[in-house]
Amino acid sequence: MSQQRSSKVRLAVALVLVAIVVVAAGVVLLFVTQRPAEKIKIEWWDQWGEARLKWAEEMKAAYERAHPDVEIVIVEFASDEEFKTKFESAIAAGQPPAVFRTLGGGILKSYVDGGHVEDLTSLLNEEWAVNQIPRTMLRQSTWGGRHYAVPFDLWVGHFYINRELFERAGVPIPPITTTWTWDEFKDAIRKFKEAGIIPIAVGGKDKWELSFYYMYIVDRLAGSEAFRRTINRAPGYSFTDEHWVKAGYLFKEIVDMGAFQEGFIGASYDEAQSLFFTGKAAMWLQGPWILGDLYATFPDFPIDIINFPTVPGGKGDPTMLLGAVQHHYAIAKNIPDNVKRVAYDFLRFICREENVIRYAELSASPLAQNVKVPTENYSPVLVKVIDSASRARWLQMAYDEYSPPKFAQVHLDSLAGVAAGTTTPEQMAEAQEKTAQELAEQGILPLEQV
Amino acid sequence: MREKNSLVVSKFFTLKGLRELLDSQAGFLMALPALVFAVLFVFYPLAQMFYLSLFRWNFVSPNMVFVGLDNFTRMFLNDQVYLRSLLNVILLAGQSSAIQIPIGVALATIILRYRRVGGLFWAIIFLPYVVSSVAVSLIWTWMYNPYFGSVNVFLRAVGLGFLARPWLGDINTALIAIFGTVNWIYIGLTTTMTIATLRSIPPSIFESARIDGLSGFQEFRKITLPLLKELIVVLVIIDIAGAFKFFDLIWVMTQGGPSDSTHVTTTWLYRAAFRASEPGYGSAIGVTVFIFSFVIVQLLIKFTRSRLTR
Repeated sequence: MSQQRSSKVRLAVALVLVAIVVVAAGVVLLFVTQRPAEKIKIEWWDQWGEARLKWAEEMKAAYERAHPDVEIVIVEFASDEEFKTKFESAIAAGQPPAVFRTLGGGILKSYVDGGHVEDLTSLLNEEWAVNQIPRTMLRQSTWGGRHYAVPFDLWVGHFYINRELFERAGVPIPPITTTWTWDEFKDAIRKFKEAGIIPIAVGGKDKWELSFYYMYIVDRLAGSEAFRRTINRAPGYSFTDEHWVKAGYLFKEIVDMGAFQEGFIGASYDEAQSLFFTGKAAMWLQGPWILGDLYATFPDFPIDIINFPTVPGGKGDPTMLLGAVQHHYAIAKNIPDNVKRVAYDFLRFICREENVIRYAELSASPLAQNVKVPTENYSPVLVKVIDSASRARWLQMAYDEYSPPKFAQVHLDSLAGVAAGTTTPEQMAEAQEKTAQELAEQGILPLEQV
Repeated sequence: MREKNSLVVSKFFTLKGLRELLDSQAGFLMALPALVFAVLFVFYPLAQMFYLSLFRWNFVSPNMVFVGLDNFTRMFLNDQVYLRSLLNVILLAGQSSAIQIPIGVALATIILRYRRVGGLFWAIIFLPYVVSSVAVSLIWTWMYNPYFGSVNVFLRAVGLGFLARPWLGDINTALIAIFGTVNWIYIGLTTTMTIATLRSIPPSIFESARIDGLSGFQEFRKITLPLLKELIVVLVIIDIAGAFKFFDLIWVMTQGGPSDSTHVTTTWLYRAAFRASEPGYGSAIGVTVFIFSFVIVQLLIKFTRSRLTR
């Protein structure tokens, strides 16, 4: 009996102890979770990279100094893919970042359609924004007349060339203000091959580098509106139209000539970069982001830029450049009101002229805003890039960024097939048309009325 | 009747009852924390995958469209790359068994025979297995590079220059190149497992064989090999199961390219779900992978159990 009682007592004591521990843990948790709530937290997501991260840290410090009740939390991602996955998980969890970077285009559209992105039309119609942000730069983030993101900078695609190799092979360098023809382009390829130089380096494994060629050829052939009309299912436009197939064959023509390095279909961006940086390849079709790494490793590199050639019978505007707004910032829709107010204010803050100039200085990229940057802050090649971009009458956004992800993958995969010789340009055209039709049936296309 | 009722009630409301309950269910209670995690992180996602495989969705849209078994018919009837990826899984499993096991067994016998240098040799061939597979993949990507890589340099140096080629940039050789790296990594593991098995065999068996006058080759064929039979069966099944979950090396080295020639089911799943934003289709691929591996695991369990009880 007494034994039973004592064990009963022990059990009771144990239960009381457990209760105390649970309550104590609860109190601690409450304490821990409540403390950060004193400050308003603004999560700021981007795939920063070193130079832009420095800018972000300066912005954070300056803003927090002026607003002691706000904490800016900079979150860094290593790749687009990681960003996309985490962002989609955060949305699913109902805890989206307040301010986030976007490329605009098909992916942003899918977030907008899902009701996850704040409508920034009112912000972008404020007086400063109307003066500072050209309306053409809003094209990638505007649907149904509503704006969803603030554009910051641009990328444009050029052939980056090694002047020394051009001289060695006796290939004249077509100045950036002029055009050159497909035949001259093919001549150059032949001369480089005779001189034992790889004409063009390309990282075919990542596929988007291959897509640059196809997109340029299509625009040179059929004009700037061809893609936008066709993907948005304008009546009378189809991916099986002649110029889509012809573009595939022109691309195949230079592949078959051996314009690219051996095994380019399996080569990564890094491998292509090595070939170009170490002077093994004469040309590399890229954006200005390569310059940072180039100057860091080879400060005396004989770098220059030239245009993509015109094509025979092409109707496209030869000043057109491949390019787009590269970084926009947007605000998530489903966040608390007080956080949202601060997010708006923070966007206005980073768009102040001095902050945008600082952005340009650090990131060394052409701006998508009407802010004059003193040219001594840019390298000579970058000044050339910016001038060329300002002359362009049309910037063609990359297909894989503009399109819904499904279409983007079909485009990239089938083009890689053309490069490998396993897919014909006709099959590629059909695959793209079939996917576009499916997406139209599912209501994903069109992205905009054209 | 009333007594019985009160007993049940008392179980929950008296301390004694509670203690009895705790005692009788101790095993279950101790397993509970692990069970909670298993349900949360294994069974729930698995159920979710089966559920998602019946939908068309893009991760962020509020509308999930129920499509029934459309994802599965598309996979088996219209998706050439999926079928190719299945073939590649079979090739991967087949070549792993056919190459790694004989070489592993041979190396193990050699290492055990020449114990003095064998230990060092063993450590060296086991090393690739303990290095991060992403690092290994990056190293081999550069080794296969036609301009900077050492593989072609080596081939030319030994007079096999006609074999030099852009290994990963050719649809006919990319898969072979990947298999080369896979074998380089896993032969060390096969060797190690064989050594462990051989060491557990009483040396007296080999001694008596030698007394009976068996030659080295006879000894291997009549004694070593039969004793390794069970290990070999297990290794084959591990190779098959491993092929179904193989991902990182291929994703880093080729991303399934060039021209989709090196996709395995997992890389194709990843590409469908996360690149093309079709989690429904990706889940459907996952379901097929789950079913195939489930069947194989069942076979594995059945096979080893029948062997053990015999």
